[in-house]
Amino acid sequence: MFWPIRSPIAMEQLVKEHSQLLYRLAYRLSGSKSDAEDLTQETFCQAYDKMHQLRQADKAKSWLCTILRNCFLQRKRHSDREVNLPVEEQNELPDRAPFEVPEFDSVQLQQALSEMPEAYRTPILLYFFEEFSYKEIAEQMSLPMGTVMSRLARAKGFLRQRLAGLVPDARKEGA
Amino acid sequence: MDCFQARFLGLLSRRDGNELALAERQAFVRHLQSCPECQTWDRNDRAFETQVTAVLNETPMPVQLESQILRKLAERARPRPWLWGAAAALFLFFSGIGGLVYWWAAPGKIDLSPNRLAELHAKVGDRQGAQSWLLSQGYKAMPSDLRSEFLVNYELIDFQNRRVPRLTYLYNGERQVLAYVYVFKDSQCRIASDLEESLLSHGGGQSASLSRQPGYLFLTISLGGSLEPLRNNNIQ
Repeated sequence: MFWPIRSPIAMEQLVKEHSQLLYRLAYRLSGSKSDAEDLTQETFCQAYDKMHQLRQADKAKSWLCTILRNCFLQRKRHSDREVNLPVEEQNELPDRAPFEVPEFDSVQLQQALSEMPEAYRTPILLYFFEEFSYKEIAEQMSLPMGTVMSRLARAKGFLRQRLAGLVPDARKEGA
Repeated sequence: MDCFQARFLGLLSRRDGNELALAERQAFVRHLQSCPECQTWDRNDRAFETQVTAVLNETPMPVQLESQILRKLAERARPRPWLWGAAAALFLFFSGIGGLVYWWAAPGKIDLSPNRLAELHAKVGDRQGAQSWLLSQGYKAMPSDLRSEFLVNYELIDFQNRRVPRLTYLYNGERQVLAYVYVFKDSQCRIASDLEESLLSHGGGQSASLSRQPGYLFLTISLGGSLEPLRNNNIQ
């Protein structure tokens, strides 16, 4: 199915269907509500300008997520706020010692996500938010599926340990 | 199947179930049923995913954001007259600059007014007139191998993207001969590439020849046969 080029109706439909997802994704990527609002708006503006690139309507969601991620990465280049915690030290594949994670809230989760490098944060957000499959995430990030699986496993391992208090809080460490 | 493989397949089956073969899915289920440790792992991992998904989805979007986005997009879609105005101003500016440059660098205009044409025609057959006309165009040479009494016209014409003088000679004898002589300054032509090409392109009842004078080159193209009746036999 071909998408009408720059049709205002199509754009309105895209905004109504995907703005919620994009805002949440932007918020979790950036960790800031105002940045998330800007990123969401910027994403739709860029989507409007690049509408001709969207050939299949059913790919709209992942297309918008890709634009959002690129917007985020562009902004991130100008600000170096990332704290790199040892996500890479996590196991690539499923934990051999599973454990239950105590209850955590949105702020704690955001803190843990912010401590992850973007290369790990994006796949985990795509996986959890709209239940993108490994294959879809791999397509969006232009990575092999195996790499996505290993990044997700590591990211999940890190999140679990961080939320269970097994990995020190980067803010307290830095203080 | 060991626990490691089973967990790998377990993860894959959650979202990319179609990527697994039926045998793999069945093997995974069998392993899970028989391995309490993997059952615990699977239960905890699923619970963790559910917990994270629930917390992530708690983030509400600001109520005004959707309308803000739609307003911004509507602004973008609206024609912007100032943009057209700016484009028109830029166009006029650059056209003006271009016009000035052309006016400054353009070659002198050739006067082809009716008066001038009448003047030219009055000079037909007049070698002196042709010579002074050529001189006024910056050419200080006349072909000396053709008889000036047969000169019927002189004019500037476009020849292979150059503006050059062309003299027309006509012999109205038994057999009519018309000859065009194009006058080039040496600086104007590269004989090897340009003129030879034009010489070769003349055929079928036409002949072409080249003659030289210091600093000048004459290309004669004749129609109607031999140039002999036009030749100046007094020439040494």
